[in-house]
Amino acid sequence: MNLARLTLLGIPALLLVLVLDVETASPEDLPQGAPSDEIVRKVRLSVRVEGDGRDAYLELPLPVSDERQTIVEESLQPRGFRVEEVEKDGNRLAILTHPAFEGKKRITYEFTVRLRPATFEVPEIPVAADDPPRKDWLWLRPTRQLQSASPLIREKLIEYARPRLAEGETDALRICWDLVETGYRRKADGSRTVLKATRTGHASPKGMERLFATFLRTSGIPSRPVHGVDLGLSRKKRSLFWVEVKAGEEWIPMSVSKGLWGELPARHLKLAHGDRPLFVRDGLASLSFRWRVSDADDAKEVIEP
Amino acid sequence: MRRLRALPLSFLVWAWTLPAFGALDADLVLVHGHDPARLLPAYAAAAKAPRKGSDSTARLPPVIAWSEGEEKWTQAMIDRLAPRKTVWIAPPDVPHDLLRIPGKVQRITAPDEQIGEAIAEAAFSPSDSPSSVWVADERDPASAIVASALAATERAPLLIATGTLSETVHAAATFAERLGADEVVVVGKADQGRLASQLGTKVRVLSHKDGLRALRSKVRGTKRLVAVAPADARGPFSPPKLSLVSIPYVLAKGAALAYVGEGPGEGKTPEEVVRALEAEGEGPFDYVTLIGDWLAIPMGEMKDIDQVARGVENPREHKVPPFVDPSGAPADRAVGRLAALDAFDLSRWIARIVHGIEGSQAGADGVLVLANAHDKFILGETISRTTSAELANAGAKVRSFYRDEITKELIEKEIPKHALILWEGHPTDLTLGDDALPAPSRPLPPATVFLQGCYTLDRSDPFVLIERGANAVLGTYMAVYSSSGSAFARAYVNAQVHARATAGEALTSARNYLLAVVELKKRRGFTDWRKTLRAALSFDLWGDPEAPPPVPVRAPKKPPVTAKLQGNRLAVRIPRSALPLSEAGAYQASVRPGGALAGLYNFIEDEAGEVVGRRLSELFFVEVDLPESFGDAPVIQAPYPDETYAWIFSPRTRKLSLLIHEEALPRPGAGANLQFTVSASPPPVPSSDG
Repeated sequence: MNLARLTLLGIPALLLVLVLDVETASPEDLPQGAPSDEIVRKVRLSVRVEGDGRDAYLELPLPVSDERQTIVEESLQPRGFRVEEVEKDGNRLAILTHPAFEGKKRITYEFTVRLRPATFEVPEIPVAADDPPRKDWLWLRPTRQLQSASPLIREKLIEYARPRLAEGETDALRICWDLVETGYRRKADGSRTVLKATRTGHASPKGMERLFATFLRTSGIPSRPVHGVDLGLSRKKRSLFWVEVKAGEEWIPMSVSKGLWGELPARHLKLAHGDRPLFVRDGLASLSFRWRVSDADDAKEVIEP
Repeated sequence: MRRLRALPLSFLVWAWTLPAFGALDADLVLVHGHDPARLLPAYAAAAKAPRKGSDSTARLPPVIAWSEGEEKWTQAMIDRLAPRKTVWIAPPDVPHDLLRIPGKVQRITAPDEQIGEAIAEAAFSPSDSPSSVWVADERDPASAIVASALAATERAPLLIATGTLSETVHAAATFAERLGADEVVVVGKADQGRLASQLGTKVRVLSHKDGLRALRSKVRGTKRLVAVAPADARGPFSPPKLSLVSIPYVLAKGAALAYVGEGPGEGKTPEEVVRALEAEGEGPFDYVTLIGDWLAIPMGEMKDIDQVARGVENPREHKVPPFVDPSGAPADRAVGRLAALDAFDLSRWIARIVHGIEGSQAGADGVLVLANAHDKFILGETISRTTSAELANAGAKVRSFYRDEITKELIEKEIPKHALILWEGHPTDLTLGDDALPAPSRPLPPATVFLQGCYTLDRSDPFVLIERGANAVLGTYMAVYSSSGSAFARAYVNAQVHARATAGEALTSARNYLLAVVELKKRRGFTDWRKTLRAALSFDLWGDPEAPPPVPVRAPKKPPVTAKLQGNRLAVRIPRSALPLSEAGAYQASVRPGGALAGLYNFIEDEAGEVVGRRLSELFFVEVDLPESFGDAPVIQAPYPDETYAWIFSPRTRKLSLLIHEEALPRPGAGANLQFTVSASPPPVPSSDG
């Protein structure tokens, strides 16, 4: 059952308990993490939208349960928008639409999540010399913000990697990490785009993550940026950005800007992955949003099928 | 002899079957991916005999490589081409519904190890009587590329080995026997004697160098050279594989092919290759196209000449466009580069170039001028306004916007409507939304985009514009002052409007214009000539050097500046009627059609002697061809002060470029017939004793 059907059925107050279609991990895949580190939080996302008469379209990322985070219960108040829940490239999205939308609405998405920290064994990944398999192409191809085919990017990486490869180093993951960490000056208001950062030499934390993902793709390693929320930070600093790297069949979280090498604290909630804006929207005059996080010690867990 | 392996029917899905005509019968070929085993046999199979009178060595329909992630731009191309018959070549697991293809579709689907045979089966039958079957190894792109081009020129099948070479040669021999072909030709490393004895058929082995020579022998006397770098086809760090998709361009142009860069290019630069080939009697090459980015085909580098002269401690390093002499020797070849982010973008671009897909076919016409968006370059804007007027005088539809008229919304709305877009100012990303200005995310028409600003080719714009459908991008690799930059753009437009110059020829003319300005500045005692020289060296063309002007123009309404050489007398006619006065801030410019401007100006004073503005000095730039009799260092003399004219001369093209300052006129703004004398060497200095 999805959000759209429930909405159309007109369930009062739209307090939905969803059966989640999640990527579950097998026990041996489970990352390390002591249960005592587990946290449970109630999270509320308020999205304020304003329309000017055009047909409005909004994609809202809905967190997916996985081996590290479990969505316990959730509800969406779409305020007159039509809702459809879709799965796209591993993301769970609520597609909200409204014909000829005018005026202001506050869409609210509320959920309870159980999170635990994770630490992954990060293997060495050699630079790929051949074309990657097609199944990984989605996470290897250049995208708008991950311009992995740009000669500027390739030049930067090749110049940095050549001497290290000549010295016998084979780990592309480490090379890309070191390049971003040492080859760019970290600057809070530095560039968020990889080409500008490469031209200017300084990058914002988000720019550093994008650079890391970009260099990995150039090296033939599937990677994707992740939009997340830091549930432990103050309201204005909650938005987070890190990278997932595919090693074998496993996606490993990493963050150069935060120095997280295969680990993720419990308070980091993943919302969506891929080179996409947090909210994809069209036909809206404006959009603003805010997070509210509170403890939810007594949350019930949904029994997954 | 081994029998040709029967192709499993499960791998061949025929939406409908066509008779073979010696080539894939289609007006569009879509190839999934850029694997040599799929792409290179497709070129050979799609080739038909060139049209009578054409310079081409083969005629191919658009062959477009695509993959997941390229659907949007590929679909735009399909929609534009509106094919009636399409051949789809892909592995079996590629969904058919990723692209909407109108008309009939013939699907050739097979795994890579069988796709070459499947393509050949679909394209060739014994009635075609190909003389040979060609073979190369996918691990040897230098051989595979030239093998594909040679097979296409001979309308013969090509098989690319993905396993062992000998296995593919065996398959080729069986196929040759069935088609009645005389021989199997292997390009690459193989033992000819052993293969011949094993197969019992005639086998010829060529090295890739032999192959290049054989291809060049088919186009002897051509003035076109295409340089590619097969080293970009394999290896780590996502090489773009642009060399693999160069073949339709090489064949359509009837060009000589040469390898440059690392590996098969033996570290040679395009300049070295051209010199070597011309020394062997090939060419001469007036049009040179480099297919590859600057990593595959490296550019020269130089320290910033202005900063060096000023003693700056760490002068910037700049890339120098190919065939550009850092010391300022005249430009003498039309050169363009075809560089793209990947082979998919390039295959679409080459299809646009080769098949003459122009802006007007996409509903785009006229010129869009966006100048001085940041309100910092008033002098450049003044010149830019005269460029708009020049184009309008020649009948082009021009829409010009300046300073705060240029908004995000305006750019998004206007760019897709025009066939020539002239951006003059800060190098703001037009495409990525990196800074303030926006990114048209929809496909663009096949326009020429002139990005007149600093380092505009070092940015993402050219790649993104090409991906989205542009046909040519002009820009810079160095910092450029607005006056020199706008003067260059104006000179480029003048060459296209008044001489119908191709993109490469117009670039050469504009470069020589600024080099002549350098000479004039030296004669006038200006010390800032290095900034002008830097601008002259900065500009480069990403596009076909033979591309015609992107917008139609007619004979100018007001007559332009002209020049005529008779004997040793060079007459330059300056018409009386000027273009509308251009004004921006304190600057103004009045210029005759075909006239030129630079950063030279006079102060305008009011009756009290107060400076109230600046008037740009009008210049006149003409080019004439000189006969051999004038030698390689002709001298110009005139009854005007020396500081009112300067010239440069290219011995290779025999082109004299003469620049005249308005002070040579009887008075500013006057019409005139200026007379110059050309001589082969400096006339003897009269001795004091008579």
